[in-house]
Amino acid sequence: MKKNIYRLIGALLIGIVINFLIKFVIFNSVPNSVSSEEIKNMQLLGLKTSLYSLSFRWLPKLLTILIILLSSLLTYVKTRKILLSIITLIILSFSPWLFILGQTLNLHLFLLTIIVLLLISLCHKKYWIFIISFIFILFKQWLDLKLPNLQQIIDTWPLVVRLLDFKTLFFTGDSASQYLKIPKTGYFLFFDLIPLFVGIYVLLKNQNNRSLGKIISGLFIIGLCFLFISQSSSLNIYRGIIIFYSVSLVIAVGYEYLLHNTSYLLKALIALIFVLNVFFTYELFYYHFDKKNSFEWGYAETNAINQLNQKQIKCINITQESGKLKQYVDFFNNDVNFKTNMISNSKLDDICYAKNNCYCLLREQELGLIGLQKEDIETIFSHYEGLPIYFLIPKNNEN
Amino acid sequence: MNKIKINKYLVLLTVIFIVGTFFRFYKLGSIPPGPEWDEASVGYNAFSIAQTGKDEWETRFPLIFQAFGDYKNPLYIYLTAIFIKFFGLNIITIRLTNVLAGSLFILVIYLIGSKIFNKKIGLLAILFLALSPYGFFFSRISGDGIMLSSFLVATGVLMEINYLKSQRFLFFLLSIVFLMLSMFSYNLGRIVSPILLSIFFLINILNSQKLNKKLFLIPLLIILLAFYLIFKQSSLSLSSRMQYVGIFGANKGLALEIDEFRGHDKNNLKSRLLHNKLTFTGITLLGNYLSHFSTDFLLNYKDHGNVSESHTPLLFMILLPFYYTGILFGFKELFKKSPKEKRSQIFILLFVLLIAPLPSTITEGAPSSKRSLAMHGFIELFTAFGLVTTFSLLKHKLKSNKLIVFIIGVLFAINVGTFLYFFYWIYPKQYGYMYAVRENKICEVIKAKYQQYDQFIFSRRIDGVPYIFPLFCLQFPPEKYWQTRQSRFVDGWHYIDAFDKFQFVDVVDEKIFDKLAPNNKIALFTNEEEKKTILPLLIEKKLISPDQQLIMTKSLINNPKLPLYLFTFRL
Repeated sequence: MKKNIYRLIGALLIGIVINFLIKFVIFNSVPNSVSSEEIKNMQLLGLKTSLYSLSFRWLPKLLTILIILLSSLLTYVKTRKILLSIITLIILSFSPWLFILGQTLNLHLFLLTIIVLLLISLCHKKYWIFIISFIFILFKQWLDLKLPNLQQIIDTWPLVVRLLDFKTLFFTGDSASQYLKIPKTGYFLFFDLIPLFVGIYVLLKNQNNRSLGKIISGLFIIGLCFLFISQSSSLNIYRGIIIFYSVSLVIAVGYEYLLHNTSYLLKALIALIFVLNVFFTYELFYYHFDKKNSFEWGYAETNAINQLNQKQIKCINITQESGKLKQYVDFFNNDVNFKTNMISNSKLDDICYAKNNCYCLLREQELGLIGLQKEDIETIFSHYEGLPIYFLIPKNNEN
Repeated sequence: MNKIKINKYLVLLTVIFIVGTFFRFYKLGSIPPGPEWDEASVGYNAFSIAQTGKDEWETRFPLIFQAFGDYKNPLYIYLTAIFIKFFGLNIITIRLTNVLAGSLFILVIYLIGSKIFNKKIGLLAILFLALSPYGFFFSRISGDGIMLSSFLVATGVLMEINYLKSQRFLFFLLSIVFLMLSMFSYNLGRIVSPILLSIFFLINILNSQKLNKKLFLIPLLIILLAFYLIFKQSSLSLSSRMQYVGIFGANKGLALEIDEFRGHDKNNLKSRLLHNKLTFTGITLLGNYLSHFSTDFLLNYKDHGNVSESHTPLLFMILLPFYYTGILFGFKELFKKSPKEKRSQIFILLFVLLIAPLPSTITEGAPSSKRSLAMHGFIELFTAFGLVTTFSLLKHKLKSNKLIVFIIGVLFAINVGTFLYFFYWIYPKQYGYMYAVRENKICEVIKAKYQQYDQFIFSRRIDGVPYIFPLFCLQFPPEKYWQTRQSRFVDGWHYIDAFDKFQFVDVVDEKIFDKLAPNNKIALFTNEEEKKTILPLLIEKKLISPDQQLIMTKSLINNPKLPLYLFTFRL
């Protein structure tokens, strides 16, 4: 028993070190820019940051590490299996859904942290499920939760079905949450599919895992309820957060069974496939995550601010259509060396063409209003893949 | 006692068969509405065969029908030609082959279920099958011989099971014949049947006491003949079809995705190692394949907007857990110490279920309910098996077994009732617009006013293959059509520009006036966009008066999504 606890503490310490290495060193700079949703969240949390610093993401990273450690502890407390506890730690460290949430600032991670904290302290009490359900009331305002009517339940049901689809979970992820997913990957690793089946089988069949099984099924039901009470406009990765957590625990049970009941050769094979799968997935994250979804990750906006600073421009007129850029400029105003004025489309011709003393930043569809073609414009700010988004019109005297 | 029992099963079988057949035939001509494009094409080609022995492109008894350039399989068209010969060309006769196949399917699945498991499971399976939304939908459309192909596959499986039980060679021979026929009915047969045949050969050889020459030679001859015919067809059709629907190819999403990822990495060695056809295709295929067993596909809440994809669930929600447990118990049976013959039969069932999604897996837009229709019947068999086995396992643990059965029965009835209401009342109204509604409206007008006008004109903006509808609804004599037809062949597709009084243009604009003969009375059909171009021209040329303008600018179809206008004038 004591030996096991030492092992567990050792494993948790190693887990902390590895997670710090992964999250704060290797993948610290991915995604390399800030999304517009993160800006909103920072405003909500009263955080302020520089355009050149990603330190605001320390908070979600730390929360993720806390969730991973507590979950590892939870599985040990409920099953007394050191191997399961270590596997839970590994699985949650590399599960794409939790990894992504830990790499971006979002409010749902707070909810999950509180749920896991409560779980660990209340898991021996029969009423834990009610206490955790009560948490939703606390988060009601923050996460915009609402009791659904019958029509909303009917409308949400297809989402539940789609979210629990093998293809969505393991291969494609959800098309509605594109920018918060590792390209070509689902919410879990491809190979996790087999342990999931094994895990379900073990939880149903094996008496020893009953108490963990109850927690997992309770979490799954809470997760389903959360799906129904969260807003349909919210991303599915957020809405399914508790379900994904419970599925991760099932996968951990499956891996534990496979590693415990197979020959050394098979164990080595499982470990090898897992490592290859992790390597393949995290290569996609490291090199392609923010490039693939450069629109949502504010690539063009960050680039525009940097370039405009370099050009030492004094003032810029921005139209309503370029509201996203305005959001970035306002939030990172400490790093912005130019002034901005919002103008309406009706005054475009007058301000940006006839007698403009300021630069103008227009969208493609607005160029026609002042008789310009996109080929006439020298400075264009584009998404990563080259799709132009903002066109810079010089001052009159520079024409 | 035994006799009464047999009769009870027979009565239930008859009742379920009648109910299943009734629902498949009920309002066959109007639900789904139609004919849609492929149905019209199948119908006219069958009509042409029945009348002349040649298809619409004047080929005598072709092995494959060129049709629009999409190369349709022959069996369905030839069988439909027989019905057309006796009952004429109409929407019911063109759907008759599939609907009969869908009804007979019920009997085939009962026989498989009762032979491998027991009569109770057989009856439960056909109850689910008779009321299966999946079966309903595909039995009632005739764009391809999908249901026919799936029925032939299932019959081939039944014959193989019979062979394993009786060791009578005739059954094996029939199994081969049915599987081969399925290959000429729909493309799913071309993938599923050869795999099944190979595995049947293997099982039969492993099960036979001594090697029998007969077991090899005759089947081999049939298979060679079938493959020779397929080879002849394939030189025309299969490769082009595969390029069109498959995931492989230079301009397909997968290839473009690989290019995109390599582009991010400046095409370095690591990128080439990780992002290549092998890895990306492997992941896509695996995801596609597994999606055929997933909740999203089986419960099908997607709005496909496609006439040949089912808008209904493949399996009722209440049956879903039993389908999964059925598969699980099926695998368990394989490892039980039961007779080899029994295990072979269950292996065959599982094998069919597992390979049935392959035709859909390799295509874009997977999972497709149409291309995976070979699962049909086997899904219901495993569901029934799962249901019965689950209850027999829980018999001693559950106190209120009967109550649970009752609740499941009520939920099943609610599922069925909701589906029937949707299919017969909501579906035609909500999705009717997808079934060539404008083309069929044009047909109505043409039929009523064929004699009154000298020229009928409409564009490919209304419909990509407009010519097939006048041919279908007027039952236009094939010989006359061949004589007057003006056609082009572009990028593998046939374009008909004119025949008889009909002209089909790419777009209706001022240039059409060059094509009109003086003093001719013209009926011109346009969509909303074309109306805006042509109306000022007609007014300018004084071809229509202001009074007529008011009438003619009212859409013939009461659907704002698909407006259709008819302008009639004399030059």
